[in-house]
Amino acid sequence: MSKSYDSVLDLVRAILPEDRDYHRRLENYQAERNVSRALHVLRCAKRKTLTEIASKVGRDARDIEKIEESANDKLSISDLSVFSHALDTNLQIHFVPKNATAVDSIKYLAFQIKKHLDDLADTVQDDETIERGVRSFYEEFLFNMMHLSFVSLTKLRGQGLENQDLKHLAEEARAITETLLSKIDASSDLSEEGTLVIQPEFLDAGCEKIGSLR
Amino acid sequence: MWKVVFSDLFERKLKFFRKKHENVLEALLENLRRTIEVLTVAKNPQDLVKYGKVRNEGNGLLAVDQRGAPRKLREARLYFFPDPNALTLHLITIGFKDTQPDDRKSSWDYIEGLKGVQ
Repeated sequence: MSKSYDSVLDLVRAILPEDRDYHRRLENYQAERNVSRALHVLRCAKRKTLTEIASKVGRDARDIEKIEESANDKLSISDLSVFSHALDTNLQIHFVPKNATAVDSIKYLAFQIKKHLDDLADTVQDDETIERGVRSFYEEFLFNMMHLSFVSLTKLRGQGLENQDLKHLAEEARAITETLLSKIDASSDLSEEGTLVIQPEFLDAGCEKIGSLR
Repeated sequence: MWKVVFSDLFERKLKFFRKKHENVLEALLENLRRTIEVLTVAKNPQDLVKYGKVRNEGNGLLAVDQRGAPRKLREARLYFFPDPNALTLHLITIGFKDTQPDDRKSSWDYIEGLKGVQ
């Protein structure tokens, strides 16, 4: 049995290691189809067949298939709009710097998350029921972000995760979440502008636990 | 996440298609990439067939074809076997439509061999 690969390009590089022209050509071919590929994968993720999508927007299944097969420069906003409507989604278009790194993308998403969390907090006003719901979501969100971060952290050690590791990580993430929230409840401080000032010791417990996993 | 492994036969066929039919190979590999990405969201390999791009070749064997290429190409298949327990996609062979019966047979034998190993 041969070695395993994570992607088609890696596999081709392994079989044709000297054939750099073809690597480049294949990379370009696939890059030119990244939008239509995303549409295809999105449709499948929504568990929709071509026929279902076509009937929803009153088009032929072959039309939808053509959109999914188009190179990026052949796709129109109208095509994307059709897909968006058919999948009950909103179409958003983002322009990302060409050389954006993973860190840039994470920072961008972090700011987006912050904005949405603020929007969510603004919905509370004086309604206690909504506040309980929002708070519950914040706890869930914090737990999930911690959990995801821990899972990624373990990659630094080059190890795969076993079930018991995941269980352990989940327990750690929950403990940190509870610590943070209880400290915020006990001694949160609002600045004059109404922004929560997080005391440094709030984060200490979390950092210690993350450190112990490294 | 699904891992991809390939047979010796697949390696030979890929080299052959690179030399003689590189446009067909490009189209097959694009559809293979889509299939791998769909597998990560669809989970069940049997669902691949109903979403298009993937054909059921019998006995657990699946194949992607060359459709979607910018111009009309000779009809071809890239045969694979998804093992959901090991989250592994076994790439078995590549061939044109006219060798389909032989390609299927050798692929089925390959799958039988895999089952024997497990």
